[in-house]
Amino acid sequence: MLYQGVNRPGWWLAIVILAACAEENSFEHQSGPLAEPSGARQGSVSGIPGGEQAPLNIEEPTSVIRGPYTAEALAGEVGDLLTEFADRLQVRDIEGLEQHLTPDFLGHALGRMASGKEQTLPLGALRRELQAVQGPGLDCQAWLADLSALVSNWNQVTQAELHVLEAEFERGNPSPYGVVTFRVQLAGITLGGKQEALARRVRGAFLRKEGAWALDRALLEAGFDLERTGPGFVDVTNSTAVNQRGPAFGQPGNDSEGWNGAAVADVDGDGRLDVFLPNAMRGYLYLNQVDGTFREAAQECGLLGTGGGTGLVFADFDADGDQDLVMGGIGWSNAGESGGNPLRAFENNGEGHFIEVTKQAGLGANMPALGLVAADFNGDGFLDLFVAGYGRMEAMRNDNWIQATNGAPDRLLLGQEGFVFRDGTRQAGLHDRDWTASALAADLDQDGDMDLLTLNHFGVNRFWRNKGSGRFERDEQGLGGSQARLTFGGTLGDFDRDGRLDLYLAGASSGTGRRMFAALESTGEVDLSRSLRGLAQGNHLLRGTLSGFEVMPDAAGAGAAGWAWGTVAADFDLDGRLDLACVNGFVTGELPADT
Amino acid sequence: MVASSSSHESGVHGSAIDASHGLETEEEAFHPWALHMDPSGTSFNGRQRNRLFVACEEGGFSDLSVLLGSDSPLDGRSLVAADFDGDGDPDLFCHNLQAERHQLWRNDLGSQSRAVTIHLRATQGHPEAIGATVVLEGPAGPVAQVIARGSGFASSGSPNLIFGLGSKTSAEVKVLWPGAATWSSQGIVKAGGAYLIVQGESSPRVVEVEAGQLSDPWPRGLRLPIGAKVPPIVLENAVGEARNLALGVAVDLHFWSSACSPCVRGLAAMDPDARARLQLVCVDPGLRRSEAVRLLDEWGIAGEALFAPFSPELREGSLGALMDVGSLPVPSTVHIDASGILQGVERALE
Repeated sequence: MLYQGVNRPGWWLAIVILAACAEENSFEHQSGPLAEPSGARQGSVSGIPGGEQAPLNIEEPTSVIRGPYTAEALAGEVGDLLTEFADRLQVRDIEGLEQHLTPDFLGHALGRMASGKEQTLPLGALRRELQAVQGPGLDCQAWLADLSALVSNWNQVTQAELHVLEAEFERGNPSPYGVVTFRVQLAGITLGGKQEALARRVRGAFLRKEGAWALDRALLEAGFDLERTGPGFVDVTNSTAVNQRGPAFGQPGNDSEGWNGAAVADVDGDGRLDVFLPNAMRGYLYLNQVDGTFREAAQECGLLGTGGGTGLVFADFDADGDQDLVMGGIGWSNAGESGGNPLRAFENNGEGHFIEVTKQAGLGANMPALGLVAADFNGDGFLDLFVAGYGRMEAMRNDNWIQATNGAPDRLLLGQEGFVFRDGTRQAGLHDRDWTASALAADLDQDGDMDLLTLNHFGVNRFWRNKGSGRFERDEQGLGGSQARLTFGGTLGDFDRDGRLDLYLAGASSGTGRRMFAALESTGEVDLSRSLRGLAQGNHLLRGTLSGFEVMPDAAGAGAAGWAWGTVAADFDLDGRLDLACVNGFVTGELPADT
Repeated sequence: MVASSSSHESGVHGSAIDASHGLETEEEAFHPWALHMDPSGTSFNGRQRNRLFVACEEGGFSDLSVLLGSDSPLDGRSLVAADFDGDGDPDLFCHNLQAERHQLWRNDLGSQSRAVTIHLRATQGHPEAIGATVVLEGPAGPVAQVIARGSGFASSGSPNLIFGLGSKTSAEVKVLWPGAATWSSQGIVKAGGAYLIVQGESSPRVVEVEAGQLSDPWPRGLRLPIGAKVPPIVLENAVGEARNLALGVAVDLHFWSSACSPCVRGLAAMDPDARARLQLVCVDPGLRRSEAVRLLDEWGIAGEALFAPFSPELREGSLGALMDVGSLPVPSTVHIDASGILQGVERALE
């Protein structure tokens, strides 16, 4: 039945697949004790001296709810409770936590810092493992006092998060009992300026009490602490005056997920890098000033009413020495088979003032562009544009979840002399109907022309080899069998320092999805389960070789990044090794609930 | 939601902002991916923290997000890294979904002298050398990066490349120029420099960079810079009744929490006269306020105990223009002079 559902598009399935999952699991991608499945299910305790007393125990549900939807709905209920719990910890409302525990609660202390094996991490950070020791639990007051001692030592709680990892529930209507493994992450800054963080994996027994779930047992399974002293990144949004606010999500002008693009260039030729951020209501052009601040100048520079705001690139399209702009606007509310808005082109007058030249540039046709990449694909010396065609989901949803075939066509727009383009898609052979979100260009096989990677939703990514003069062939083996099927963005960089570009992919991650698809495998749907898991597996790292890319296990430690969108590779600490930054989150509402 | 029938018109041209754009019928006003969630209520994979994976000496990455300060929980979309202040290291700029759309993080890891910035100019094909791959022989092996226009998600990043040299003082650079099938050796670059590499030239040209620094951040938690005029402040007492802070006199607001041991220790140990000169403001939630009142009694502090309003709505209306109470470290002392100007913030250090 689920198999039929997979081939029958419907939003209900999307909700099922993508639902209820802030509980993306960073432990799954890390080495160390938290990466292992909960083998020692009972009584593996830390920080408490072993003694004669019986170890803390949790009863397994006697009759487990098997339906993945019901189980996930219940996991969502417990997840909401954990979020509320985290919110109280963030403001050190320890007394307020008591209502989330049963009167007979017993649990292992979470807050005392680890004293086990130490490991030095980059940038002087230190990681300490928890020693697993058998032991009994603390009662409600003692357990809360332990948590209180931890957070009261900080002058600020910078992070408090509790997320569901695994969940099983006792049958019943409503279910009376659940065993939920969850992750606790707390971080704060001491008065001396030391950053401290701890991560704990807890196996919890939850009882339904007067209609609401409450924590009855908390077994500590594994954990580690992190600490570091020293400067890192500093949020200078306010002090540099890039703090203009837009409408809140859900308000007019901010009513899609916001395909909010960003592009960097020195648009006014003063040697400093400026930033343009398009949006449905208005664009923001932040001009970099000599005094360490920015000045917002979209109106005076002609970029106030650009609309749209998906992929965009600055480049000197007319080769006159300044940075022109082309931007996409997915335009999901427009009619037509592929719909979309036209790309829009803006010519720089050399002083940072932009004039729209969309029609002169031959860009009048509608196309639902999500990603945009500029490069000279046919080697004629003029910059071309690859337009990643996504689709119009409100009119025509993806026809399949693991390999959709009804995305909008991609386009290759060939640059001519003087900022003019003509459609060269057909000759280029770039004829697929994937739901393409982003694309990357580089000479990956080092044969003198620009190859393309298309990064897709509801299907695998593609390696398009340029066979010369801008004619492309799809290399089905070029991505090493990568099963990523919901990729939002990616970046090329040499992460293993062999002089060759590797590929990092930012994609959807969903604890719910992974749990459900794993459950599917037990029904015998092994291949389908594997494919579906590609929708929820998080980020991927692929190592570049001369013949193509190879998938790196667990993304070499960079796999768990939530529901990831933008990503960038850079050597932030300048040690000669490229690091990775990634932004994430689908939609954050005001309520603690996460559906 | 205002209804209009503009939803099926083709793309919006011209530079005027169409105020009705996006205001279709209620059903159509949201993208399907958003239609099934309450846009102001329930989250959907929300509150996720930005990640920073730092490369390890022994290979692979370490997730140090929580320790490095750029782990905003806002819903990020595009992300670019570029050296905005010309100090050599890459800073980060992000475009979020929320009203707080834009975020800029200054890189303060403090290793700029190890940086090399590379600009390229091609003499064959398009001059910007877009798509060129540059390899620098770094301290941990050769590192390749590509000049990209269009990368990440809906992003176009820095037009130049930054390489770290670690402990090396100089390194050789090779370039695979667009259209070329063989690597070109481009000479040696030195740590701390910026260079223009021109296709066909055997040594890099030094580029003079006007180094600066992105402005220092406002004190953590504050929404005003030092020197700004502070709007009227409304606090409340233990039972939630509003208390206007007196205007026209200098005041030192000392924010503290009874759940913060350093706050309690510091106040308990403070000279009573010095303590009396502070206007204490407790940031605790309602259930804890009795504990705060008890401590104030114990310390013999006369007068009514004052609290920062706890509900987000009240906070926005009273202290919101001055600070985000939730992200203010405590203890903090905020100095406001007699004319209502924010003079500074002091944080006790042990």
